Amino acid sequence: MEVLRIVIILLLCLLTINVSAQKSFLLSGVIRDTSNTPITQAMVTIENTNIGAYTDSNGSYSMKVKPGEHTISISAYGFNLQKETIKINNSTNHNFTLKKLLVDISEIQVYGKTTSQQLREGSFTVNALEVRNITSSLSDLNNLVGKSSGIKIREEGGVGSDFDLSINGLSGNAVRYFIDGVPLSSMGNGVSLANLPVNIVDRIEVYKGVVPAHLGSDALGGAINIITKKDKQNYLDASYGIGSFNTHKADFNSRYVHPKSGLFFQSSVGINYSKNNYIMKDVETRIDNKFVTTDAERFHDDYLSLLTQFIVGINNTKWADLFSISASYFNADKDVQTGSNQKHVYGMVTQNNQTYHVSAQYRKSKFLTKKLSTDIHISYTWDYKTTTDTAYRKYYWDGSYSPSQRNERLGGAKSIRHINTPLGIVRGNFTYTINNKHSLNLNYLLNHLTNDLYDDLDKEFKSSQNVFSRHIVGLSYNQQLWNNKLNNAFFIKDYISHLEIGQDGNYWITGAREINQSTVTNNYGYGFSSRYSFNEQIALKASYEHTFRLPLAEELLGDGLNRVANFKLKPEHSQNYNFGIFGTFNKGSKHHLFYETGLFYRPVEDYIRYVADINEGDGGQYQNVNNVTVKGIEGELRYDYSNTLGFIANITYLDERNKTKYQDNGKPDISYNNRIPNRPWLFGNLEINYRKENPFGRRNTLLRLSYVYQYVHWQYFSWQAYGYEPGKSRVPSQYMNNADLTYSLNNEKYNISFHCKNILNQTIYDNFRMQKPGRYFFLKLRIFLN
Amino acid sequence: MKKLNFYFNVLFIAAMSLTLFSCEDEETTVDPNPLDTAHFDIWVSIGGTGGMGSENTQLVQNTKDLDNASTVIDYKGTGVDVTAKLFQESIIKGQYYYQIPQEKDRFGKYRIGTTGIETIKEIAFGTNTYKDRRYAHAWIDDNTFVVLAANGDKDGIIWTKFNAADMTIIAEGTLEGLTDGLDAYSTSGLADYRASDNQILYSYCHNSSSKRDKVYMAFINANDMSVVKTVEDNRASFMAGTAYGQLLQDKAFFDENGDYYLACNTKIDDGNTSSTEQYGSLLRIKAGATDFDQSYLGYRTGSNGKGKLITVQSLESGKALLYVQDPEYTQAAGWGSNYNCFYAILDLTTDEITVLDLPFSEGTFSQRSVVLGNKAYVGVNPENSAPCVYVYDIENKKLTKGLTITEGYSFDRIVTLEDAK
Repeated sequence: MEVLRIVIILLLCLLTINVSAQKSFLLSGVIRDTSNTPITQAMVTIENTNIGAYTDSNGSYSMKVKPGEHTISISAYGFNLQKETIKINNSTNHNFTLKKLLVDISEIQVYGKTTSQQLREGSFTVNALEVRNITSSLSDLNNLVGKSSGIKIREEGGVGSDFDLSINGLSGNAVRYFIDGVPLSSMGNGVSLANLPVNIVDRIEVYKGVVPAHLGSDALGGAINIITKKDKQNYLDASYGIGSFNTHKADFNSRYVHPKSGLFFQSSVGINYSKNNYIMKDVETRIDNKFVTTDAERFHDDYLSLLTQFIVGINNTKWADLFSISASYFNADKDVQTGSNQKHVYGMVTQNNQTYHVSAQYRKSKFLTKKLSTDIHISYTWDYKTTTDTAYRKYYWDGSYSPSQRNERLGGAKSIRHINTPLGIVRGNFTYTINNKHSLNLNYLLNHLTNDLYDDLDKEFKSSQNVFSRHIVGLSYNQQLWNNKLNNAFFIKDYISHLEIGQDGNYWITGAREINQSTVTNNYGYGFSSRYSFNEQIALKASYEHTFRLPLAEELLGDGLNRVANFKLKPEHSQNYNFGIFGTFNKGSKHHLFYETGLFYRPVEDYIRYVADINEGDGGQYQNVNNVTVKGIEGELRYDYSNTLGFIANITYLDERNKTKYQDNGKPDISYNNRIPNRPWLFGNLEINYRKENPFGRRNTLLRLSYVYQYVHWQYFSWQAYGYEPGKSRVPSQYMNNADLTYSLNNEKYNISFHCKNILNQTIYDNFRMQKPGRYFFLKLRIFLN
Repeated sequence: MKKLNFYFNVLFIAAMSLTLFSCEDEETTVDPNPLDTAHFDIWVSIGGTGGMGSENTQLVQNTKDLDNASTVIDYKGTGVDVTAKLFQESIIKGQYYYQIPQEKDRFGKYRIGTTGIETIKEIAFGTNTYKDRRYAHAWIDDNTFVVLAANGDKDGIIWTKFNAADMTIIAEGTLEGLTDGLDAYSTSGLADYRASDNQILYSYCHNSSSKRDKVYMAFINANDMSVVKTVEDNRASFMAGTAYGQLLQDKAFFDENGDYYLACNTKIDDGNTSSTEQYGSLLRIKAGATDFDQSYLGYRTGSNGKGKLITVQSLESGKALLYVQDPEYTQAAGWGSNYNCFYAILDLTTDEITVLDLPFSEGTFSQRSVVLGNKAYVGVNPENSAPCVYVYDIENKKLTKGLTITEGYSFDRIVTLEDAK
């Protein structure tokens, strides 16, 4: 309630901001580019005042100005800054024409609104993160996403380790990942934010709770959409980085466009390698049959991933705005050092992921009719995952081992376990523009896979093959009213799943005989998002979605290792509410302050959780076990001074409660309404950026310095209220200090950056007893030619 | 039976004391109260059962008040949260818990107090390595226990003998001389030590549930762990526990005559039932014998012969306390339903069943009953009231209500331990 009170006071304070009504004249007009196309979200400011306005979707602006001579400054993303002095004696209509930048727009920062900022100021609650501008200094995308508001990434180790990303408290499979609107899994189950080449990415959109229908998502907690670069020009972008713990990263991205035909060829490669041989502090190892605490180097944590992609396509023909065919290959070899607890040490377990992927995309505006545009994507993926666990050894942290009678991970017989998952995806997106204020969008997403499990060595393992299809249809209506002050989107979604069971083993556990061999489920979701902008300083947004998340293949069909199938699994569902307030204060053209705060509420039912097996044998299965409610508040401030000094601060508070009143046996659950343990609930980030053009007197150079402080408050490992409190296990508070230094030459063609993570070399855990790397240095060289 | 060792010790000392005391005054014969030097640990969990690898929060609280009907225990701010360290499945003797803890790479000796876990000693595995929660054990004497389990390939049974006092490995190896012809052994069997001939009785079956059609018993020389004899009995398909030994639940016992009773189950085979739908039976090995007693098959008449034996414990005097799952008798909806279990007394001579007048209970992965002195403490988790303990007076056959546990916890286990000295 205290938090709510503060928000209400803040709201009232902001509402009382009043623009003084002195005698003034109206200055209005239209901003266009040289081809006479209106420019939206261009910023028009009166120098040395705090008066300014953004253009609407027609490129129009208007503002009240005192009489006299004024210098008008117009800036827009991708255009040259323009200044003009005009005399105002009465209401004046004045149009401006901006010239496009001739260089890559990433090299210039202007105060016009970027796509990301426009997205942030849209009706959905979204973190829009620019990658393009910081490609030179970024080592991986997790680093960027993890420090944004409301997001927490919990990593289990170093490069290539498993991680869990939560959006406003909901994590794991509740979050869906997309790349250009298509499920990221189409590139392979092993492809993630952690190993995707940084320099193919333009920006990342993180939708919190309410997800637009065009993503075709059945996400419960939100969705992450990675937008790749689509520059229509030739370029070559190559980088190589070397870091602590024998880490090497190389990214290559190039594009050639044939100017006459519009044909283009794009290739990209991303390589990640690390030995991850960082020091584990205060771990136990064995000396003479006794356990002693010591520091030890990780010895079986090598990770090597390779992602290659080749795209050939054509732009701007009569029959297509874009038509492309793409093929990619992904391979990851990973040594598995530990189990779910760092005390479970492995020395020989390995995993391999291999994925082959082909796809085609067709995009066309004025498709069939003048007002219809379409975007169609078809892909097929061959995904192979192999886990090898054949050593009869028991390893210790010093790398020594003793002979054992069982394999390392499952404690059973030697095993080479395969999961082959051929996956087909079809996405069709159609937008019908009724007029410039109203549009309809229809999205269809088909996800069809086969899950083929078998083991080369373990005779006890029962092979299986199941087929699972998911269809998600979304229809949305978007409107922009009252000169774009009010922006609404209404949508409905239909979630359909089709399961064909091809296994009968353990039918009393999997429920294989309790449902039809071929089963179809159908659920409807709906929602809206709305934003009302009072003025530049204050805007309100609200959104709601009744959403379902269909079980994933692994949850429904098992993983062949320690997850048993559960064919009776129901979709989990929630009502997601967001309410936010945001705005921008500009003082002259130098001071810019953006603020945003949001409240969220997520009552989740039939939450799908992994439940350890209470029958004989290993592992367990996913079950609809409980109801959970997450509510919280988050806030972010962004300040920029003259494109030189910037501050970003955000903080998130979560209150995640168990709302399961009764246990499976029908009796009350003592933990009802208690805070869910072992989840971060208070965390924040502070980022300070300094940018200096032409430092040290050298022209066309740029120096960037960045410092990031990340904080996560401690949490209980198990239920807080029960048991003697001083004796309870905790995941301790985390304080992490990171710094970046980037120096660019020749208009950012040549870049060198130096990154230091965990400067103070503190022992850091994201999860209970899963130690992360200590101080980490990374040096990156990047060449960008266009 | 293992837990009764402690009682025998107490009883022996008490008897000696009484003998001495009787020299002075033969008319004064006061039974010692075992709880003068012992206590109970009550294990509960939050959100479901805490055993069998569950990740639910597990809490342990010491008490001596099981007899007291007015006592209600809660775990809010009290009790020890053992979730991060210990499993509920444990070898228990004297003051201590012995087990492979959450680290899964060692054997440890622990004591649970009122504020935390005291680690007495932990040692690494020797040559033989075991899987957490999946091993059988037998106490050879007060300071020596042996653990047994199938190896990873399930083609051999490994064993390790420990000195419990200083937690050292005395010896280890693989059972040699089994004559069963099996190609895959159950993850673990059930083990008990017979002092009269210094033999460990280790029962086991086939690893695959579809190939389980008889129970095997190895008679093992406790000195050198050599297999003296292997026998089998096809009157039951498998033992009542095939993976977890008796770390959580009591599945076998010696009666006061030294006869060994082994709880077994057989799948109800009507063509469309899960392997967890079983009926139980008791097999017997007479004192000193090295084969199953073919003249005896216990629990023939109980509950239409369909009830599945979950736990069995000796009450002495020719009686046994049974915990049985039977949806037919309890009129539950089915085997997967809750509250389909009941407690009963089995007369080992007549096979007569006397169902205790207690509410039907929920939970098949629990051990809520212990026998201490002349009382059996029987914990129930009934549908319409809070979980509680009933005290059964073995001599007088009377049931009285005892301690209650605040509603909302999963009541998993009662353990008896000596007080810390």
